Amino acid sequence: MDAVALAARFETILGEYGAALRRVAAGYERDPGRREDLFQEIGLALWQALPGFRGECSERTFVYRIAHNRGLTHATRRRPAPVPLETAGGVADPAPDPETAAHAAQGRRRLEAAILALPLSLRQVLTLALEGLKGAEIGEVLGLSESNVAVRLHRARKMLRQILEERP
Amino acid sequence: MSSTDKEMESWAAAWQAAPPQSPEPEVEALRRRVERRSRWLVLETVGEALISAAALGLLLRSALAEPVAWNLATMAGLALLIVWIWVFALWNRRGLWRPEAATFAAHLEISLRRGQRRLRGLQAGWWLLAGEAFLLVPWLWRVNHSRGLPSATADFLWGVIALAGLCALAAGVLTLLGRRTLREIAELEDLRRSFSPEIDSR
Repeated sequence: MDAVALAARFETILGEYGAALRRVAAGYERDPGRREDLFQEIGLALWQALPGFRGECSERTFVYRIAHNRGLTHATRRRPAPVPLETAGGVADPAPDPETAAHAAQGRRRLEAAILALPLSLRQVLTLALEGLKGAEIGEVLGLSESNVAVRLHRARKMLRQILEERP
Repeated sequence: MSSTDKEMESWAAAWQAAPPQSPEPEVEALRRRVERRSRWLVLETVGEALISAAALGLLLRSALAEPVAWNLATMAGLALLIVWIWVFALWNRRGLWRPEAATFAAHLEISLRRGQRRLRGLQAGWWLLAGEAFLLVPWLWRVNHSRGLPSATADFLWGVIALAGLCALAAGVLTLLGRRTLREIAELEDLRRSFSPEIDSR
C-alpha cells in the first residue's frame, strides 16, 4: 500500500471508527487528559499496523483489536488516576435542550463510571457488545471462544446491573 | 423483545451517546510522530553502540598505557562485561519484535513475556553493576598505590566513594524500574488468570 492510499484508508477508518475508538479509550482511562493521550496512541498504533493488514479478519475486528491491545499496554503502564465520579465523563455534550442534554450526559457518566468499575476481562466484552459487535466478532478481537464470550457477557451485565443499582 | 435485550439497547444508546469531541489525529501529524519515534529508536541504538565503542576504545587505550598484568586483566574484564551485556540484550529480545499480535489474548501473552524479559534485563543490570564494582575496586587500589604517592590511600577512598555514589544511583534506577515492572507483570498475570477458559466452568 503506497503512502497516499495508506493515508486515505487511515482517514476513512478514523471517520468511521473515531467515536468508537474514543469510547474504547474511555473504557480504559478515567482521566480525560490521559484518555485523549490513549486515543492518540490508538491512532498511532493503527497507523503503524495498517500496512500489515491483509484482510485476515474484518476491518472492524482489526480496528478494535489494535485499540484494545493499546488499551492493555496503557492500563498496565499507568497507575489509575483518582478522578471524582462527576468529572469522569469530561465536558457535557452539546445539545439543543440544556436540561435533556444534562440528563443524557449524567446518564452516560453514570454508565461509564459503572463500566469502569468492572474487571477488565468483563469490561472489554461488554464494551465491544455495546458497540454492536456479535459474539463471534468479540471472540475474534479478544481471542476467546464464542461460548466464553457469552458467559462473560452474561456476568458483565449482571455485575453492571448490580453496580448501577448500588449507585443510583 | 425481551427485557434484557431492551436493557442492553438502552445501555448501548447511553454508551454511544456522542462523547465530547476533540479533533481527530491528523495523518500528517501521525506520520511525523512515527518518523520521530523511528528516528529516536535508531538514534538510541546508535548512541548505545557509540558509547560502548568509545568505552571499549578507552579500555584499550588504558590497557596499552600501562600493560601490566593487573591493568590488562581489569580492562579485559570490563571489555568482556560490555560485550556480554550487548549479547545478553539481543538474546533477551528474541521473539518479541512482532509489533501486533493476532488477538488480544495473544497480545496479553506477548506483553507478559516482554515484562518478564525486562525483569531479566534488570537482573542482568545488577550483575553488571556487581561485576564492575568487583573489577574496579581492586583496580583503584592498584592504580593509586602503584604511583607511590603519600595520598594513595586517601585517593583510593575518594575513588571508592565516587564509584559507590554512581553504583547507588544505578541501583536506585534499577530498583524503581524493577518495582514498576513487577507491578505490571502482576497486573498482566491477574488479567491472564481472568482470561483463562476456566471462567466458563465456574
